[in-house]
Amino acid sequence: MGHAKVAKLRPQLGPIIPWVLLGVVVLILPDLMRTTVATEVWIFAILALAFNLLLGYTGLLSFGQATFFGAGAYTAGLLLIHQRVHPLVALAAAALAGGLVAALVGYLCIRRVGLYFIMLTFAFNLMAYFIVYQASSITGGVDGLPGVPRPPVNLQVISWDIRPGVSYYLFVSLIFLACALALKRVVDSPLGLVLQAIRENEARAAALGYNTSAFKRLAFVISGAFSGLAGALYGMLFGIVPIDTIYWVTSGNVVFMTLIGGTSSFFGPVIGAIFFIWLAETISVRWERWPLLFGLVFVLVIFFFRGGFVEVWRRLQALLPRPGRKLEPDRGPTKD
Amino acid sequence: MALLRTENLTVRFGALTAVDRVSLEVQPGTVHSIIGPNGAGKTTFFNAITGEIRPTSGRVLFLDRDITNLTVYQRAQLGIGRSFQRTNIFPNLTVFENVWLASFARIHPSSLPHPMPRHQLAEVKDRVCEVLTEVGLADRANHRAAELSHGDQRLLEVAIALGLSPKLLMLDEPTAGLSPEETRRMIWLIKELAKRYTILLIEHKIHLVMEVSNLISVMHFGQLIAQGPPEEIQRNPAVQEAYLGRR
Repeated sequence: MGHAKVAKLRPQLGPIIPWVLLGVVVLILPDLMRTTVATEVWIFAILALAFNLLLGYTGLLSFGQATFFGAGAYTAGLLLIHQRVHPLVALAAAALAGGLVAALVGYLCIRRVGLYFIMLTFAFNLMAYFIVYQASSITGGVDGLPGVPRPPVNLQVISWDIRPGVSYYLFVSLIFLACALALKRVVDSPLGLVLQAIRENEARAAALGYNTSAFKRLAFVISGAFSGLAGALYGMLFGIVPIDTIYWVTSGNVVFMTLIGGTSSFFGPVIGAIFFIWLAETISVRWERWPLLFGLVFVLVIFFFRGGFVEVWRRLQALLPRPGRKLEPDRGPTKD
Repeated sequence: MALLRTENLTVRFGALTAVDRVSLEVQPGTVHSIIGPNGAGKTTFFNAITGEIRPTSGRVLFLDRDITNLTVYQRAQLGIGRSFQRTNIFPNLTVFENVWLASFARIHPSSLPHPMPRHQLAEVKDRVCEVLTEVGLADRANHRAAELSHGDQRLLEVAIALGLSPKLLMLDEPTAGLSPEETRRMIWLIKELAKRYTILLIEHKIHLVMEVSNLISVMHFGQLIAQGPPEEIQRNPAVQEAYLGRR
């Protein structure tokens, strides 16, 4: 009886465990690093999760995620500076802007596959960068867009002042958790599996009646919306939208952190974002050439742990003996 | 009324005419087989029907509707389900998920972003269990498709097509590469399916074709050289020549 109960409870508890862990990390992270850095972690965690919807789930390596991140950052920044809008309105507008830009970029890019697709996303990223660079009277050009305020979050009943660093950290953490829940919901819906089917075998997915192009465009829009939202939070964090937000290096960083964390699991990119931002912000203070160290870690991951940190964890788990695990009857080697 | 009809369907690859003016009708409720030597254009003919290849000329009609210019996914939505000659599955998804994708496409054809979590769609799940039980893969539902043996992957290939509950089931050499025992299992399955589905079958194993077919069309160098019930085809001198060559 006791055994049966445990077996019944497990699958119900299982999905909650990562969320509890995440909550704990949210609470202890400001003790491990400066509050600003900890805030940045969750912003990039949103971006990495959004990016992994394209890379990990749909199999699309978008090398232009900064296009959407930047679109959101500038949209929110301009609205906050000139219109003094509510912070949540700014976030919504940023998500909308990110989604719209992603709809356009996605629509054009998915007409090509493989390397050509990647280069197209990269090219659109560069174009977006130069547009922002040229339109300096609006965007501040290479100096960035300064003076982004952080007005209070006015919720009728209470008004929450998010100007202090710790308050803003909490604000961003809550938004991150909401985004993570929303994206988890997306990948657990039928859409999530259809996207994986496209990654695995697009022709077969089409033969089942799925309009694979439409699904890819939809993945782009969702990914772009969350990326744009992350961009808005970034501008509000520093009070300025640096032009780096839309620079291709930011796109590359997202690819790195996601690969290092692991594309094959939902939470992998979050681990990658924590590690990347921590390394970038703490080591870089002491050692100018920190990217060398990062490069080394990246090489090690690619050579030995293709699945990123998630795979390290899985291998450790596999090393531990698990009692009560029945061995599968040997069915012989599979013929391929 | 024929379920499927092709009119002078022609597919040319440069100088090669892979399918040459093939006109054919598939009657509902029948098993219609296409046989022919290697390179006769059978699979190309299949691909032109399902939309993987655009024909050079001619028309494809499904339920009297011209579908020649429809895309692959539009034809699938109309009720054409197929299996592939070379195993064409979702390798890193589970067996269950492989068939789930097909069943979902059938039950919720137009719902692009369906709001419900997957595990709450009971109707789809029931259909998947039904199909997996029928083909005999129920005990491997949670295996990754890539881990299956070749024989089981061939069964999964058919299961995916069945998940669609298609009006026309097109099977492209379902027994390709199977052991004798696995072949027997597949033949049994096809006979079962023949009771409920209209099947268009490409097959090399002549005894299987003779056993299950109502009608057989013979292709040779892209052309239809004979058509008739199994007994008639067996006696047809043109067919014997195509298979044995004239020496």
